[in-house]
Amino acid sequence: MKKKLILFSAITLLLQLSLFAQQYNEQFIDSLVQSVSQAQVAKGTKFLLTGYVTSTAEFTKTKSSLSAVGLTPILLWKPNDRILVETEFETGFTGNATNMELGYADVSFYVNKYLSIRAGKFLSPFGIFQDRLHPSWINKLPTFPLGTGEDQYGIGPISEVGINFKGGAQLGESKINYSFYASNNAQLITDPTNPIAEGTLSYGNMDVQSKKLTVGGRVGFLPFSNSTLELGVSYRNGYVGDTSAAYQNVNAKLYAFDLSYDNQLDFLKGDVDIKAQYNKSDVSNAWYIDPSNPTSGNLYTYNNSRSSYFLQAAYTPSMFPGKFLKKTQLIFRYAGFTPPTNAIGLTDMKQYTYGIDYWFNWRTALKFAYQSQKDNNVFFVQLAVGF
Amino acid sequence: MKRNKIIVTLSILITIGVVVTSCVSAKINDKTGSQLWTENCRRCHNSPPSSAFTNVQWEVINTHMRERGLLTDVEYKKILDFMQQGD
Repeated sequence: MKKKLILFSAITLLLQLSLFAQQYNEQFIDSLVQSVSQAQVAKGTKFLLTGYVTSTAEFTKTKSSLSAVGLTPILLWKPNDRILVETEFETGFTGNATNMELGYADVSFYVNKYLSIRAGKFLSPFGIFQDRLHPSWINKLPTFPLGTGEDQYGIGPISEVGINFKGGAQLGESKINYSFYASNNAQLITDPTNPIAEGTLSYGNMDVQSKKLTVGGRVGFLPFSNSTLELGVSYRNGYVGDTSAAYQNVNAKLYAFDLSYDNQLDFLKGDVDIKAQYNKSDVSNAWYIDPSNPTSGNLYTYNNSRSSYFLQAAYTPSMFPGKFLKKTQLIFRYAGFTPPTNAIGLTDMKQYTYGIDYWFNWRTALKFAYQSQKDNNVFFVQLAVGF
Repeated sequence: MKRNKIIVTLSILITIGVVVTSCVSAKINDKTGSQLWTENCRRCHNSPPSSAFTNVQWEVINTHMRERGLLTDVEYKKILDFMQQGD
C-alpha cells in the first residue's frame, strides 16, 4: 500500500512537472514569437515619436527663476504613401500645475505631386514664424518675437482649425509654394475689464460661430535655384464678431509679408541667416465699451488697425578653424508693435534681443540672450533639446 | 484682329514659360539629394546627419518636412533617397 502511494505520488509529480514544462515552453515560445513579430511590426510601422524639451531660466534686477520647463512630443504616423498624421502636444508648468495644449492634430492626404489636402488643427501659414520657426530647437532665441504670439501685441493666429490645400512646384529656376485654407473664425475681444486685450483677436475657440468661415493663405516664392531666398505673402479674411446684431458684420483682414535668407558667404567666412516678418490687421468699425469707465456703458470707437514686425539676423563662423567657433552663433533681433491710434491702454512697443548660442549638435543648443523691451530688461538662459 | 493678338501673345507667353520651365527644371532636377538636403533643411534649421534616424523613420520625418517646408515632389524624393543611403 505504501509502495503504491509513493508510486502514485511520483507519477503525479512527473505529470505536473511535464505539464509545467509544456506550459513553460508554450509561454516561452509564445513570448518569443510575439517579440519577434512585434519587432517586425515595429520595424515596418511608419510611426515616430519626436519633439523637443525646453528649459528656460530668466534673470532680472529683481528676480531670478527657472521660468519655463516644457516637453513637446510630436507623434507622426504615415500609414501609407498618401497619408500623414501629425500631432503635437505642448506640455509645461503654470504655477504648480502642469498644463497640456494641443499644438496641432491633422491628417494630410497627398492628391498628386503638387497638392496635398490637410484637415484638422494645423499651424497657420500666416507668415513663417509660427509655421516653421517656433520650436525651441529651431528658434535661435529663447523668446518669440514681439507681435507673433497670441497676446495683446500678437497679430495673426498660431494655428487654424479647418481645411488646408498646399503644395510646392518648380517655376523655371525658381520655386513657388502655396497654402490656402478655410478655417474657423477668430473672435473679437470686447471685454472692457481687460483694456489691453479689447479690440484684439482671439483664435482657436471651437465655439465661435459666424456667418461664413475665414479664408486665407500664403504664397511663397524662391527666386534662386539654390533656395537661399524666400519671399512670402499671407492674407486672412473673415468675420470676427459674434452673431449679435452689434458685431455680426465686423470683419478682420490680416496681411503678412515675410522674408527668409540663408547662405554661406565666403567674404564673411560663415553662414548668414536672416528672417523677417511684417504683420498687419484691420478690423472693421466696431463699438467698444470705454475701458476707463466700464460701468458707465459709454461706447467709443477707433480705427482698429495695428501692425507688428521683426527682423532677425544670425551669423555662424562656420568657415573659421576650430570646432567651438563653428558651433557658436550670434543673433540679433529687432521687433516692434504699433497699436491702433486712439486705442485706450495700448502703447507703441519696441523689443531688442541679443543672443549667443552654442550648438552641441544639430538639434541641441544652449542659448544666452539679453532682451530689452521698454522698462523690462531680462537675461535668458535656455537649453533646447530636440529628439 | 484683336482676337489674333490675344492668341499670339498667349502663345508666346506659354512657349516662353514652357521653354524656361523645361530648361531650368532640368537644372534643378539634375541636383543631387545631397545638394537639395543642404539647400532646403537650412532654410529653417541645422541640417541633420543621415545617422539621426533609420530608413523607415526618415520616410516619416521627410514627409513631415515636406509639409513644413512645402518641398516639391522631386526634392522630397531625392532628399529621402540621400538620407536613406546612410542607414
